[in-house]
Amino acid sequence: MRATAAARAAPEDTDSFESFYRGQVDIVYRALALTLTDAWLAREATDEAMLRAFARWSTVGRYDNPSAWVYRVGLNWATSRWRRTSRERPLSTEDRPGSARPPDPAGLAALAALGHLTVKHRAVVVARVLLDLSTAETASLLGIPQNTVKSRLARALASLRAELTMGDDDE
Amino acid sequence: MNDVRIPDGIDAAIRQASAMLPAQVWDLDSVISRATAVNRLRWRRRRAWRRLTGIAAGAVAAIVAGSLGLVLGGSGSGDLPADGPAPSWIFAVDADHLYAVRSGCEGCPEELLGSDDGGVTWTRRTDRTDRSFRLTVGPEGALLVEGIRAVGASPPAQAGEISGTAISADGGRTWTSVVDDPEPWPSLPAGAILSCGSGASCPLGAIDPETGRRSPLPGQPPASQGRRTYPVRATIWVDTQDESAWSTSVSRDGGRTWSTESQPCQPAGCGAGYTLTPGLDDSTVFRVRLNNDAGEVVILRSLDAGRTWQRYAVTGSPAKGPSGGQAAGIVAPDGSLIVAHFPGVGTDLETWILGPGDTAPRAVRPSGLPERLGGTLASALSGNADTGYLLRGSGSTVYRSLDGLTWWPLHVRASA
Repeated sequence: MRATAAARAAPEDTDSFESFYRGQVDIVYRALALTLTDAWLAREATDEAMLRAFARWSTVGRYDNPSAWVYRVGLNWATSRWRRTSRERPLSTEDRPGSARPPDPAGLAALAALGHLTVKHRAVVVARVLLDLSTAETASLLGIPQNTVKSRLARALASLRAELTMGDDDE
Repeated sequence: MNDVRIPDGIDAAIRQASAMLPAQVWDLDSVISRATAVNRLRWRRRRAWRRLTGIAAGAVAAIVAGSLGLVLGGSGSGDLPADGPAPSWIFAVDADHLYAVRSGCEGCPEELLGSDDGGVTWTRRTDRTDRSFRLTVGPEGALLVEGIRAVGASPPAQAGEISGTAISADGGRTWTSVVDDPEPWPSLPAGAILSCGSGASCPLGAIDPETGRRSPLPGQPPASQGRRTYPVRATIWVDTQDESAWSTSVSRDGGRTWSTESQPCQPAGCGAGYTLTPGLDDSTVFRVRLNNDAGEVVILRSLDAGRTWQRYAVTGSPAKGPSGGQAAGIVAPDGSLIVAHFPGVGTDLETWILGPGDTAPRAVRPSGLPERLGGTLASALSGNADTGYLLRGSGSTVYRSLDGLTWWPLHVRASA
């Protein structure tokens, strides 16, 4: 069934994609969810990006880091969708009702701190931490100069450090 | 170029944040099924292009611009005829009124079709939209379209054309631009469409189909990483699932006040598969999930809006395929929950029913449904007692039911 379904992918490609999917889909989803600050949207973006990866797997599968490609496609898809719905006003922090069940104070604090960054800054941080990319790889992934990656990262880290009330002793 | 070092504390905090995200059930088969559909569409387009190479361009334009009548029949094998594009989306407002969206080819503009006679005949409500638009249907048939033809274009552009964000109170025949007003609604307008029902960073709001005003609801459900909203009759249900708990929120007064009940999801997190299915009154609610690869389906039923839950389990066939099966539920007109279990591609559909007074689910065999189903069941099965039910089968086949137990295939077929 799988070999028949994958009209454009050879059986070995399909097996390779299955292995990739099993190992990476959750990582990509979590990276997108933190970047987009919307788990549902991230789920849809991950599904969409994985579909496109499968359709082009004979090419994407040869990339050095297919996960980064999937992340980028998902991010593009989601932010494009955002543009279409950008007239929906964000809820200010002061207006947010309290969460029904705070499960992990440290995680909640980190989520809140990430939420105060722009999506461009979150994308750089997430690419470096969760996707484990270097500055050069992050620049290539996001299509921006390396110096821009460094400046965005520095600004994001400064903001996160302030939000999370961390000292300099852990650097 | 040296990398900027990520401080250990920040690295750990981000990983903690990542770990808090709601767990997901991944479905490789649905990815492959969708890719198959895309490939089939590409193949059809290539074949159609070969057929058209001898036809004058003017004739092609006439076909595109013309008013092509559509007939939705109820007989046949369930396969899509090769001469009609498949609907990419179909929704029922009630037994008589349905909407469908379809596109003649990949990348072509999608067209909105409507039926006022239960799907026997269809008319084109607009045929000039963005290549891809988002459509939401209100409880009384109002339509919300979010599709931007061109950045900065001021909707509406011309008769029959949708651009920007617009709402229609007459089944897509005329459109009103949506205008934001930050002042919350004092009460929910009649026939309003909820906005940001699946958002995380915007307030749950409502759009008045008559005026196009979009404003927040007077009260808000609890914030979460994400939510799913289900308006049923006079009740609004909101399902939120985070890493360690899922919450059921309900408003019975048009979003003015909310009641929220939370339960920890132990031991392995909630997962997106714990789908909320509202009942017909303002207190009954179900959750359905496929529990494991052995085919165990867990049904949770609450008669007090999510405060306490009764647990039922049935076991079907073991999951087939690397991603396992899927389970989903619909509520029948008598309040029974009908649960469908799809073990995997190439396997039989299994169904059970849990009546309002039943102490255990029992197997049931709906008539007219295919034994085998493709795609993703959770997204394929939709509807409630007021709208009737729809099921997207493999490929482009759509099945229709008004009671959840008797089904028939719908064929979209070009009549001329």
